[in-house]
Amino acid sequence: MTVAEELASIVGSSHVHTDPPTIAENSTDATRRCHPADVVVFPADAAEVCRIVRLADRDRIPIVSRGGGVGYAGGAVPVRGGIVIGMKRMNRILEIDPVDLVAVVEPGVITGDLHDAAAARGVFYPPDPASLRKSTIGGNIAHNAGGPRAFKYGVTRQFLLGLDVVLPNGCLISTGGRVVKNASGYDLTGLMCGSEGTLGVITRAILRLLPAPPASRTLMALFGSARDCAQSACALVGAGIVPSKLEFVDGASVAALRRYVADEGLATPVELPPTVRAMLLVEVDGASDGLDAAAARVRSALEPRALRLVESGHGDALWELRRHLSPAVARIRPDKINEDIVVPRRRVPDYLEAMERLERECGLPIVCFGHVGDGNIHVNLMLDASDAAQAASAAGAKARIFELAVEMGGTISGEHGIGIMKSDFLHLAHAPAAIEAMKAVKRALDPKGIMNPGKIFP
Amino acid sequence: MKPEVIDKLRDIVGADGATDDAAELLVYECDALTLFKNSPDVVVFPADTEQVAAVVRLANEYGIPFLPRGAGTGLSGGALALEGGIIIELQQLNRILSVDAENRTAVVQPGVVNLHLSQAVAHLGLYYAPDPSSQVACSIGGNVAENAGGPHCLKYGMTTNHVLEVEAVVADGTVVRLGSKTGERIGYDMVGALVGSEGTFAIVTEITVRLLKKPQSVKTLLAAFRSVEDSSRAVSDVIAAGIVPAALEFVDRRTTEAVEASVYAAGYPLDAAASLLIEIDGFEVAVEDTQASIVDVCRRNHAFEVRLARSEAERARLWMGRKGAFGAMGRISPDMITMDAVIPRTRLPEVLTAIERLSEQHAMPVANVFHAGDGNLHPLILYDGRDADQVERIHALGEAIMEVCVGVGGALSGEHGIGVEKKDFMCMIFNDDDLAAMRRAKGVFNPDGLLNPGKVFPSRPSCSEVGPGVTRTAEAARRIDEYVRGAGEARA
Repeated sequence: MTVAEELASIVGSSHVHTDPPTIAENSTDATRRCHPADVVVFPADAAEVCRIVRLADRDRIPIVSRGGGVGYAGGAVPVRGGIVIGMKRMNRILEIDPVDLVAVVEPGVITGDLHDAAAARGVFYPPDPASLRKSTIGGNIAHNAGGPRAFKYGVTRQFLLGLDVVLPNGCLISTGGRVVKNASGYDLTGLMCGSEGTLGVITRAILRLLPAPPASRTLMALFGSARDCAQSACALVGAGIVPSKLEFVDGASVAALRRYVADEGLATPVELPPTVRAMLLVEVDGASDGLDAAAARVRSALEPRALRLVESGHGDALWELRRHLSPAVARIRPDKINEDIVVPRRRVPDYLEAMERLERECGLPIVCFGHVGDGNIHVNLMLDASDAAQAASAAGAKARIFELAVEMGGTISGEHGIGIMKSDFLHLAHAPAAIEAMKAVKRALDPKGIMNPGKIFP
Repeated sequence: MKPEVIDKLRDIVGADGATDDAAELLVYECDALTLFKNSPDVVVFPADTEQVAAVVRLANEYGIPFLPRGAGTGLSGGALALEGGIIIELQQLNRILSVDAENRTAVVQPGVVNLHLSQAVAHLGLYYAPDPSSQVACSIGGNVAENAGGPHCLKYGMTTNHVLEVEAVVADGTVVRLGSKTGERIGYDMVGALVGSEGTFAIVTEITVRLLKKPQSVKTLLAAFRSVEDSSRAVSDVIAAGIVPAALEFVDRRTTEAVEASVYAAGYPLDAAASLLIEIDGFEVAVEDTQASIVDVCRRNHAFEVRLARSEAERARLWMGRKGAFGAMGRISPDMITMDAVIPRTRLPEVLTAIERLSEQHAMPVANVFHAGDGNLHPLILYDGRDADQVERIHALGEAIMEVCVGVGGALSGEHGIGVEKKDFMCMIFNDDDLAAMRRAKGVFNPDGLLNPGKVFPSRPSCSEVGPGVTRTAEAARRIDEYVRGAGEARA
């Protein structure tokens, strides 16, 4: 029996695919890197996943589990071929308990679907990666995804209470539990979270929910420079204000937005004259009667440096404008390298100025935006990848993007993970002994190296 | 232990840096879990990381068990030298190495006392959030080992949420630095794996922690209830209203009686079946709104008294009762064991009723004072250690209480860890495959098992030898049904 036939005997032949279009579709992610899998399977439950993994363990076949395929680090690219386990059938929300504030889900649940289902019950799952309409909870856990709300509420790890995981030897284990606080044994939940599918296949997750905040309010501040913008964000945080979102976009982003809304003839809630070289979007949430005071505090922190403040009433329109950013930036050049770095919050202005210098040096447009409250900046290097000179220039610039972050006391990834895109830079984040310790963890749980091989480690 | 080992240890830590004097070793035969005792062969007091590493290498050379110890305030036996050997006492490593006010971080040695860090950064308007009840004595290194909590973890998270980077000596004596100063976890979350590993993965020698800005306003309320059910419902209603109190603590009648008769007397109402201590913090305006909502929730749940601390002194007094509760028990009982379990918040009334019934059945008094907001129970079993029969009964009662908690979907520990106290209970919630994965994780750091042996894992290799794992849980479920039904009938 071939591997594909054996897989068919596990999941049923209609859920095993070896045709080139399905292989191609399931062998790439948002990096557009592609290496074909040998076979794609869509199991229905944890028992099937166990049997698939046992088969892979027996024959030493690489395994890559796949959620929405929207990762920016190449985590879902099967660089050594093998079996891709797609989670699209394991997409049930098993439970939402609005009283205990717990959700139990399968890994293929779309993040946004969980948001909607939670909202319908008056509760709230905060992690909100930009790709939430496509990303899955399993993928979010694998990469410890964040999002704008991470500043106030924390990243995926803070909402993860327990997991069912199929280990590389095919054993299904349970970690953590259905309680909000847990010191029962070692924290394997934490070890799995952010391990980028290299230690096991997640088959179920227990998540912590919060009561939905009753109201929110958005303010937008326009600035004449990125430095003014970043310093205002620091002043805001320094004043002890904890916004639910604190998003910044730089001058190149504003210019791209300006062109985009003009080209598309879109209505915009605010004029963006060329004097505007940065903007900040601030959302505060909580009980509605406290929001006036919160908004006033935000205003007084931003006013000294802002060109203009725009207030809600336009809340949705302001975020709508922010959502145009991705397509707007895509028009600058056909390709982008989307990096994700972190610097201490007070170094954000310095880092942005360093990016302006790097832009001049490498001759490629660099667009920065991100979660300034966490010091988490998305640096987008725009290029035409088919142009060899641009590609070479980008490779050099990419290294500088990471090195500068580390020099400023920061690090090389905030929420996208390492995958294949940053494995050559892991040494910038950790000393050799720490990397050796991580490799020892990998060997201990995956001695045959079948689980998402070729990721994280150079 | 061979005299040459002691000599070699003294070569490393100095003549005064080690003791094997029987009288001095008495102090080290247990931690705050006094039910289990065993003496180490020698205690060393290293002065720096290099000495810790050298001691560890020596222990490896001779195949001698060794373990770290902070203040010895742990409640699960983490610092118990179960197989003798070397205790590496870290209280000498007690310096705050640096404070970065702008980035709100501090670098500390493991022996720094928890409360001392908050005191040292108070002038900067900062503090360190995790606040175990033993914070006047316990060390941050010990907090890291056990992933310690405390009342304010409800809002601010456990120790693991506040540790950014650690330097640690792993079991073979290698020094590693894990994590990052920004707190981002790049690659595997090694800091997360280390925090809460109960001194069985590595000995932490330097810790970078997150500091928080002191809130503009803090208010503390006491709400007193005539029934445990009403107080429990108030707890759930506060959380369901979207309020995240800084702390939400429960004090029962037995605890109140002990506290009010002690030097920790805090003015808790003696006629209450249960009182809640609720603290909120944030901006002044927001805190006032929240306070009004909390008073409203408590009144709706029939609180007969809701009292707001009007001054910092009143606030400190309310907390003194809570934090001194464990000490106050000394007045009514010669010994006690502080248990630790977590249950879904909504199951509080039935579990507390079940615990009361078990207490009567085993004829052992139990007091309840705990972190209600996150469902973290601390049943205090009061006993007299001189009475062998009572000691037998607490083991049985402790196990029965655990079964009830696990039966409603709970966990074995919220913040004290497993240690020796609950290692055989691990089979109540984990199976052999789960434990095998944990053993592999331990093997990465501590392959020979010389570091802190005999902890966390059941005393037998397989759960089926400890007790029939699955049937045990089924048995627990049956008993819980019984208690819960009984509790329902008692209420009716």
